Amino acid sequence: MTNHRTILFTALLFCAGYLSSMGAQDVWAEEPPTEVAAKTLIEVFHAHLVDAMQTDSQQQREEILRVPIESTFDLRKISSVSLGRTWRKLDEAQRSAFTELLGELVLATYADRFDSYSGQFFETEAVAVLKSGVVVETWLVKNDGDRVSLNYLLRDNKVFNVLAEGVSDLSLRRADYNSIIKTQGYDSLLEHLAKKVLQARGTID
Amino acid sequence: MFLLMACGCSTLSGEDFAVYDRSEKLNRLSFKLSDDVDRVVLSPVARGYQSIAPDWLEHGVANVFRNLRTISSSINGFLQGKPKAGATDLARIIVNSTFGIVGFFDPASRIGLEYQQEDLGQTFAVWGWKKSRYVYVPMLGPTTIRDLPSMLVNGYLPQLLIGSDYHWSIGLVDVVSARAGVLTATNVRDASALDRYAFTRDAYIQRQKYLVYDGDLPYEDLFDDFVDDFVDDELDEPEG
Repeated sequence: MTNHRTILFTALLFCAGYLSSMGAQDVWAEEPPTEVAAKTLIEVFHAHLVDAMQTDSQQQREEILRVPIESTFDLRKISSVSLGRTWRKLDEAQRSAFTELLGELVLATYADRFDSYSGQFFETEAVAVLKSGVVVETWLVKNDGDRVSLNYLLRDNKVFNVLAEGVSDLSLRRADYNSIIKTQGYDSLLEHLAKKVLQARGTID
Repeated sequence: MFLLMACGCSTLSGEDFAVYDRSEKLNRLSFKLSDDVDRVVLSPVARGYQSIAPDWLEHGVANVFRNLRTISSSINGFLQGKPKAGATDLARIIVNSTFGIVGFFDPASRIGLEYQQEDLGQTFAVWGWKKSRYVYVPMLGPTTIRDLPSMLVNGYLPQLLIGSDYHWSIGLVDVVSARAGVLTATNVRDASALDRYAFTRDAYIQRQKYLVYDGDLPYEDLFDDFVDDFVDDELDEPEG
């Protein structure tokens, strides 16, 4: 009897341990710790950037980067912050259209800027988890040893802002877009952005 | 003076570095004038210089002028209460002026003596002069009232240090080398910006803040800058 109880108890412990480890694996698969998830997200994005840099055509680079950009960046949040008050006045269709246009601009710009490879690589220096979000500090190391600081700001597990040498992409975007809205109107902003996409793709000068 | 240096850094706040552009119309005019001259004269000359000069020569020339200005960086490192930064720059000057042949080569960086990029504007910010009016000085570029003395001192420093041997052609090489050094940055700006004036102004203010904090920006400020927009986005109801 004692033996049976011991065996049963051991079996139950084993099952409980197995189930809890299964549970842990499931939780890990769905939601790894914030710090790890953020670091992985950025490092995977950087790996795609290095791939893209070694590709000749803008179109191929865009093919490589399209999915990573969509999964790394919170394009809707970037759109809403960039437009500020104007965002509140847009209906859902206009918001979606703007987010899609901004996504094309981000994609075309990355593919245009990361267009050649000469041994440069990315290094992740640190990850800081804050109340408001997560910061991933990285460096782009050029072949001559020059280092460019690239810090990614994440909220809700996606990037909403990138700081290059302390200069915030989102702040510049917000100042730039609102200046155009103020002087020329929202429709003009859309025209300018569409033109920038074509310029980045080399379709127009 | 010591107390001034000791208390400076603790009073910095992100909000103090907000854009303060009360003379925007005048600044835009100054920007346009400078930009027109840059497009016609300076930028093509800098591109020509960059395409003709081999990389080692371009880097060497830039190194010489940076070496001359490192004395200012060193003094300002000490003035900001950062003896390590001041001493690092001082050691750079000694190493690069001797082993680096008047600063043409940069052996100091190879032995870990990195350029500290301190200036008088940053010193004033650390001492407590935080908010400052943005100014675009014709032909000299973006600055603030706080940073203007630093811009003038750094411009005049090579002439001051070289003394009677200084020739106007040295100044010309300095200007062309400096413009070539920021060609990549202005190319990125021109490719991205819709309003190049606003883009230049905001990038300058943010870059100065980054330098004042020695690259160690207060992260919560970076999120706080957008907190109202996050709330709007998360409520996400279009206005009727």
